[in-house]
Amino acid sequence: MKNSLLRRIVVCILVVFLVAIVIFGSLSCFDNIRRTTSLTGNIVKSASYIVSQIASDYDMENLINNPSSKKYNYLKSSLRSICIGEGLEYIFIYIPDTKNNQIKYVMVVAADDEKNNEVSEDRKAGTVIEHKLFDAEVQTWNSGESTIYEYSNEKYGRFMSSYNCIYDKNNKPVALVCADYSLEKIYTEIISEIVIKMSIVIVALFAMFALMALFIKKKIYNPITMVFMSMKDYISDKKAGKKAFEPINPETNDEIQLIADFFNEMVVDIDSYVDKIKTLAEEQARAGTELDVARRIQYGIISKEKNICMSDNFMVSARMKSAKQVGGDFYDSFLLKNGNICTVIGDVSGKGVAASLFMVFVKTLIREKLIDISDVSDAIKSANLEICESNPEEMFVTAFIAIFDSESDKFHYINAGHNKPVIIKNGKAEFLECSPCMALGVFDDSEYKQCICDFSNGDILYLYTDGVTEAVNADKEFFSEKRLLGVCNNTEYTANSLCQSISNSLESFINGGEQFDDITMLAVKRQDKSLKLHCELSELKKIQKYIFKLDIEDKLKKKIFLACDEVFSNIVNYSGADLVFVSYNKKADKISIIFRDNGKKFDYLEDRPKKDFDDFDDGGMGIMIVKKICTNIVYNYINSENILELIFTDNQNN
Amino acid sequence: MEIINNIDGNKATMEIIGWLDTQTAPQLGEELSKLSDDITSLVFDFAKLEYISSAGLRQVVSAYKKMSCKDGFKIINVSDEVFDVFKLTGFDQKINIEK
Repeated sequence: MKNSLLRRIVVCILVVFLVAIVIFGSLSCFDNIRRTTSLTGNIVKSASYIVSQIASDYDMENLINNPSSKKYNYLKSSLRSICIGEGLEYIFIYIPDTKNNQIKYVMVVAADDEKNNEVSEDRKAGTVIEHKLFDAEVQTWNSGESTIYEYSNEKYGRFMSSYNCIYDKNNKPVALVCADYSLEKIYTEIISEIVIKMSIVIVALFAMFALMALFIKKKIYNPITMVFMSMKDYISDKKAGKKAFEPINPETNDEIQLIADFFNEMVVDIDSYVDKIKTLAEEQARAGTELDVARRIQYGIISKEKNICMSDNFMVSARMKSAKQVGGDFYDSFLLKNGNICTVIGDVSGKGVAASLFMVFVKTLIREKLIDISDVSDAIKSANLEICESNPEEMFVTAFIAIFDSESDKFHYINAGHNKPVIIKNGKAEFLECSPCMALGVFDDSEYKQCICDFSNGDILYLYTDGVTEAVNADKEFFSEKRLLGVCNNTEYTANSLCQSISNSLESFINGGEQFDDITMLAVKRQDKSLKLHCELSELKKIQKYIFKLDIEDKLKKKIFLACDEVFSNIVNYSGADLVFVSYNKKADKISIIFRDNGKKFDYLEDRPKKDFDDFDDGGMGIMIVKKICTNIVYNYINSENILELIFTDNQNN
Repeated sequence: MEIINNIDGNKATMEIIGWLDTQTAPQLGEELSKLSDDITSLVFDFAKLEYISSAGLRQVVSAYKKMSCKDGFKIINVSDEVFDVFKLTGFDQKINIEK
């Protein structure tokens, strides 16, 4: 709180207080001075008049000539009484000489004893001094009017003098009277009076204002404080979760009371509103959670594993990213009775819980039919029939089914209205041209024709839904088939890395825009674990490719290939076999390469006469090299086949 | 595989580039037989040799035998992997091999 009401009020009062004092003080001052001055003026005026009247009975010249006479002293003492009695400083009687600017003193008295003695000496009767008459003196001398004159003297200070004229028996002006009143004296009196008055006023005002401040605090400030403290408590209680609210009552029955009453009303409103919102939010959260559960179930059904290794020769990898709502995309991968791998991708029309539920039904149905019915076309036909029968919402499903056979170098497929998949051979990607059959769930009598496609070691089949090609970016461009092919064109993909690469491309393409549709994909790569070779040296290249594709350190690969080179060369040159099988196995850090040939028995482990260096050009080094490179060699002759296992240790992780 | 033959008087340097295996070894054999009898020093430069198998080793022995009578055969710029193979077969004991 930056400003305080109380502080403002107090400051206000103080300012008024000070201003009042200043105003009163100055008014008082001026008034006092004025009055006192006027009073003083009257005093000196009347004093000089009285003296002039008294002195008129005397003869001035006579007085001057007889300063020690009884008359002189009598007059002098009268004057002195008046001087003292009226509070005057001096009384002068003197004869002016206007022509010569002189005056002749007749008599001077002072109230103060010391000063009186002084002037009696300095200005005794008859003393003449130089003095140019003041205007006031001149005026009095000429007109007889009494005048007042204020002057300042270095020696004596400020004075107020009153002049009067003394007439002789013939009413001719004969002398002047000057009554001097010291203003210095007045000023001191005035100031002390003012100080006393002001002190009283200050104390009185202060008391008054203090009472006023107390009143304001009690009657106004305290109730307001009470109201806002209650509001503060209400807010902090709300934050702490306390429910009970005590209505505020400042008991002032005025406007502040009204504030408090309205606040109490508001609190009731707010509380009920907050409760309503809470209930609403809880309902929404519940709904959201249920959707989340639905999605988790959907994913559970779809199977979260990204890499579904189905067999030795085929690697399946899949990705699924749902749009905001649960969707109708699905994929599936399973083994058929004859050991072949079947992969399915599908897209149910529509979104939301309905599409999701229908998707589960369709996925399960297709899997069952394909497992139970050996003819693929019949299986799909049967599935379609059932889907049409159980389709009150008239939803349809597009699907692509592919069945892989490790014996032949081909795969069979049915395209039920789905996107053309991508096939990658030797790093080159293109679309599988196939005229699609009708989608499932549309017509109950649709036929589904099976097609065949070549698929050899290293090839990849990539299945996807239109969430991939129809993904949009901020500029409303589609990801498109063209871009998809672009990403796929690469020799180095595994099933998993292909899916990852396309997912990443999609993510950076969409770049924070909205994902409208489910993004689903499935990739199948043929990666033969064993090689079937003719017994010819030219087949060494295949062995080389095979070894170098393995997930091992390069140095070890070369060593392994060298051993294989020697073994295979020997088989070709000496065994008389026509087929050789090469396969690979890895257990922990031990890598095995297994050679199987149908040639004549040749035991590698048999002891042979050690050959000399000089005879090496006749051959025989090969076996020695193999024995030295391999950690271990296992040889068996089973079913008329030589089975030779070369074991190497992978030190990569050591 | 590529073989570059530099003949400087009676000194021959053969640079062997690539893989010396069963398939390519005969090529080396041919080159060796083409060498004139005047050659007293033969050097195999294996700087760019990436792989050698027993067939290749056999050719090396042939070359050694041919030259040992005239006491001038050595192999230079042998890579670690190729040297390993020479060690396995004990060639490093007999032939002058430089890494």
